[in-house]
Amino acid sequence: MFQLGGSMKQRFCDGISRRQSLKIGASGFLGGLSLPGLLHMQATASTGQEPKAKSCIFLFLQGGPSTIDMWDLKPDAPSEIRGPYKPINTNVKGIMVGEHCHRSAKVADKYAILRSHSHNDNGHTTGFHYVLTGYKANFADGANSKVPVNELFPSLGSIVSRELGTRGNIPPYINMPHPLTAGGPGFYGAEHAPFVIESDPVQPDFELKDLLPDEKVGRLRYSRRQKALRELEKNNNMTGRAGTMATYYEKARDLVSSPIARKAFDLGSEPAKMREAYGYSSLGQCALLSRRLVEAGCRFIGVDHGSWDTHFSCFPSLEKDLIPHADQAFSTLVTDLQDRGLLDSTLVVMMGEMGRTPRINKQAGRDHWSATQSVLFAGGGIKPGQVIGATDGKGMAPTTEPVGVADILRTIFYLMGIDSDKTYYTPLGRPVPIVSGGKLIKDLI
Amino acid sequence: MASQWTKLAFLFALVGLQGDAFGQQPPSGTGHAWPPGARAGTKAKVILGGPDWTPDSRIFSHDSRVNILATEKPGQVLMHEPPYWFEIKSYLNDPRLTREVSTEIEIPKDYPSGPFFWSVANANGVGSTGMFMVGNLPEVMENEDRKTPQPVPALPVTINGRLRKIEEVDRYLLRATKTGLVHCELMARKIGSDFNAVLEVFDAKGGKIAEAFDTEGTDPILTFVAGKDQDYVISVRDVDYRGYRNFTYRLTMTDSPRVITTLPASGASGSKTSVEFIGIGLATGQPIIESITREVTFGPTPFSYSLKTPSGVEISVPIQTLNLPTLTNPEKASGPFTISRRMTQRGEQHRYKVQMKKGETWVIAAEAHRFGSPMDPSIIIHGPDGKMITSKDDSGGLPDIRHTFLATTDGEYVITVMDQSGKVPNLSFIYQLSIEKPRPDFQLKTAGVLGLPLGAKTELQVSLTREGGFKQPVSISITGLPKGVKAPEKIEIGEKADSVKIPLESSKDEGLDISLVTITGTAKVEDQTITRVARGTMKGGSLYPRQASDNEVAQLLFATTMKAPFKVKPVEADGGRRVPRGATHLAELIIERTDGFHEEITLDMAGNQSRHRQGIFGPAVKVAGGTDKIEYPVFPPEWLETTRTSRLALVAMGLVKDPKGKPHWLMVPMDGQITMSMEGALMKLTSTSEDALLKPGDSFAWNMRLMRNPKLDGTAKLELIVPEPLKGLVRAKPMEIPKDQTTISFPLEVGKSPMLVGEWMLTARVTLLRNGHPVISEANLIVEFTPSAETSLIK
Repeated sequence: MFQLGGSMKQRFCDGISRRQSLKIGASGFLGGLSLPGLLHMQATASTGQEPKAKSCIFLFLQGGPSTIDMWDLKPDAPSEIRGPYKPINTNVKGIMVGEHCHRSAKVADKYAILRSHSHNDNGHTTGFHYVLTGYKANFADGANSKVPVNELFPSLGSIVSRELGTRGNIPPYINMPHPLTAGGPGFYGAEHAPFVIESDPVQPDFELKDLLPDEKVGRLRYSRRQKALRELEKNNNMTGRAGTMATYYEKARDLVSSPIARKAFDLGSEPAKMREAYGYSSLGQCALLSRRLVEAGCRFIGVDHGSWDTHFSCFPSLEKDLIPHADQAFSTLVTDLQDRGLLDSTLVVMMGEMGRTPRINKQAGRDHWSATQSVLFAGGGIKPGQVIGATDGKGMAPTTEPVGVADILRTIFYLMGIDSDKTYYTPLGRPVPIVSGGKLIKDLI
Repeated sequence: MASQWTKLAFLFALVGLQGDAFGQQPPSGTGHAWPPGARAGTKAKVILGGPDWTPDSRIFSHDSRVNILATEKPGQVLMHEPPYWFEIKSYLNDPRLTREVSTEIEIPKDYPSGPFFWSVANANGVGSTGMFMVGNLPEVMENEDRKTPQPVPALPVTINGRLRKIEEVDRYLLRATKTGLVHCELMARKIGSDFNAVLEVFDAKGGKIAEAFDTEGTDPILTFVAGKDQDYVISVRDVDYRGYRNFTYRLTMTDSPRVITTLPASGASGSKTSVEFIGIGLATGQPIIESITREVTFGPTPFSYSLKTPSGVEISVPIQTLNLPTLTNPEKASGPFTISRRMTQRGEQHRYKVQMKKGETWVIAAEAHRFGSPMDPSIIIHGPDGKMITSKDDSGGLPDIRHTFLATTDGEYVITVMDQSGKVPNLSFIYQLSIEKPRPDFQLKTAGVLGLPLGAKTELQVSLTREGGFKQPVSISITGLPKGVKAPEKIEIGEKADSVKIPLESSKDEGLDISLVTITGTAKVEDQTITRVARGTMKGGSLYPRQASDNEVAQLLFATTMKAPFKVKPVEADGGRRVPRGATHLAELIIERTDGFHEEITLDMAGNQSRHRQGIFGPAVKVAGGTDKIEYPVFPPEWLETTRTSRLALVAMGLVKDPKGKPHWLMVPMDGQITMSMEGALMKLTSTSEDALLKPGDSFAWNMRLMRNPKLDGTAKLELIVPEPLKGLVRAKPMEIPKDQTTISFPLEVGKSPMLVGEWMLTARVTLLRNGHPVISEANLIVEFTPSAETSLIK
């Protein structure tokens, strides 16, 4: 039986309604959660069938990737649209990708390309908010410089954290190398905030400082300090920011004392060949670390990879840095997961908040274009080796039924066994379903 | 060659006035001076600085009484010194990168206390205007390398100081020679330094006894009571702990009472009046606002009264003169008159019933700020019918009001004076209301600095303000135009006009020139001929002037300029490039040359950079003639944030001959910026030693760990970087670190010197060449030096 801690009650609602109490069985109030409780929570979160995806790696190409140059080329369009790149064959007959995605071309049978993703938010911060929460932002693009920008609506990582909880002694939701701009927990509260690494795994001295106990503090002293802190927290009604910080400290304590966590973050123990296979780029090493975290039991890893906002002279950057890094990281990750027997249980998604304009602008760049973007899915029970949807000859709009943000989120949650129709109430009593609207991408599952 | 210049001349003829109309980069921003001031009658060695100066930039004083002699060419672009701030806080400190030049400034002995302006000009235009303060007290310079508080000499004194880098706090040690008031007045914004200073005073035990925060942009002032032979530390910092080379200040410390203002605020020359002197410690010597009254006979303008306080101190107090009748009964007034009064409580209103006649024009002035009063006056005027006609608050961006009012009907008008400062009034909340008929007169305003390309035409606007019903035409004359610039012989502002656009044209065949220009207006006023000099407002002036005219000059600096026949743009204009921190990034740049120019150009960092520079560095690079594409080496330090795009802006400079064959440095900003998205470093040096306590003569093994990307081959070089004052005192031989070595023991030798005192930070820098360009990582070590008996200064 679950018990609601006093502080939780104060933090989340004025009172618990009957309807809420029915839902709360799966609410993820982890403060006093026992292992049986956790198992029960996972069970009640079920969608009625055994979910395949136990974890999700979400590679977020912040700024808006130029997928018209990567996954949905338009070789028959005028030069100002088709750009300089040529399509190449993949190992799946009939599927072609851009020439700079040659590594992914060799493993196209392991993933699916959704070419008909479309929405109508052409802003960055508002787009982050929309894609990562499923809800439109209530601020103008650029008007909110806080991180996370999603103060009310939880991000999909936080939803996974709340619905599925922990799997092993490692935080269920991790961001790297820095926080996803809209990756916050919203009204779910600090216990579903991401654990943020704040360090770039590509750096040779990468290590998670939080995992290294201070050598000057002995084990006994450390233990005494922990106990004293717990007493302090118990004797003070930890609410507001103090309560939030207490939650963070708790997460950090768990990590420091967890050999599994330490092992997971020890990228140095990875063979040099494997590190090189992923590529010595930030995205490559983040992808590798993501795989290690999945092995350790992490539920949702959000990798934030910026610089895709290529308005000016975009092609040198795309072909020298951006596309090769993404191509290498994604293709190696998918292959590595499969080699380890983890691909079926790990969903990999690679997307940005929008695509780029099909027409190349006067500055030889491409601008914001949310009307079309290709999204890559691999593992977690999806049907690989296929292209879903299509765009017109100029890449301006989908020619098949558009797949929106809610559709993508609903499908991710479905694959992870989360009921997207479940509704939670904000502290002011506003009902917020996990996903508002949307439908499953049936061709994908 | 001739055809080239003909072509340029055609282009020039199409556009207008500013030096940067063709994309040139004139000297920009505001100029700074170090020290920021000097005493009258001295020849001061002063470093002047500003952004985007070419090697042939020239410095001009806008006051012909002061001579500025540059003793060298401008040096290299100066980086911001560490530490650096990150995330949103990095936006707080955004000064431009500057170059500096050594000068000698000769100030006449009779030069009045106050500022004069200087500007920098070159073949690209005029800019970087700055202020230089002239004082009348003994002056000292801050010793910027001191680690302990700097002793203050005998009071009174003016200390020229500077917060050279962020988080810097300057400390001064005062040993009081007597018990009594010590008054500290800091000038920063008043001398054009754009920071909000904090003054704090600590006693010998470190307890804070006084503080003043400049939260209103008015510069801090404080007074405290010092005990004889007691030590006090006076500290100066920015309210946000910002700092840069142009964060200069003047801290004046006196040990006498201070006059804030007087009541009345002014008096008529030749009259004898009872004047209340309001200030700190005037009556009792205590740190409170109090007043003493004296009978004052006003002399001719400018007038100063020698005030003797009960404690025997003599203070020279300048008092304004105003020859208007003094109003005695506010219930029944008629202009002209003046009255000075005090506000005693918040929300107080003073009403004046003034008889006016239809068609009369009156200048109504409500002034407090000009007299040193903290009051912020506003006025409301009601007509004879009781309806409000107008309300006024602030004039020309300053708190005081000067309003020209036309009475539209006969009757009694009510002028209500109020305070808008929001403060609880004290004795010093005085103001002066004066109403006078404007005398027929005029004022002329124009630009402070000008630039005009060779062979171009432009129109220089001169604005006319008519006062007191002045309606006559004004004849305009211009003297001192640069060589080759022509203006019409006859220029006039007509009877009904309030401005004139003077057509100026520069010869396409003349050499470049820079000169100080005077624009004078002449008109007949009531059978008299009067002349007024057009005044230009300077951008680099006081940020808290007493009156708008404080930032005006009578001589305008005018340069003829040329268009640079080259430009630079990056191959990748924005976004995208992922760059490892701590490794040289070779940014591809395209050089475009036009008009037959094939010579060498130099690329260097621009003054105006992106907000979060955090130590991004680019060297001055020479590009050989004929080269149209280069890889420019940008060095992004290993500490840069990976969450945002980092940028570097460049300028290009080239020597181009003018039509007379004289070469000049032309400068253009690069189109766009070099942009980089940072990733983790390729190599990382980490200190594994704890902070060290060292004595002179010690040896110390500094332990470190070096990690590197597997693809980073070669031997790395390890060297010791010490702060300037420790050079030669702490030494280490550079070491070679082979590829497979990860642990390092770096032997340091400490010399024997009394300078080795206090806490310092040492830096170990490891450098490895990748494709011939450096990859750098640094580690720091805090060391505290304790003097040995042999080296201690205290025996």
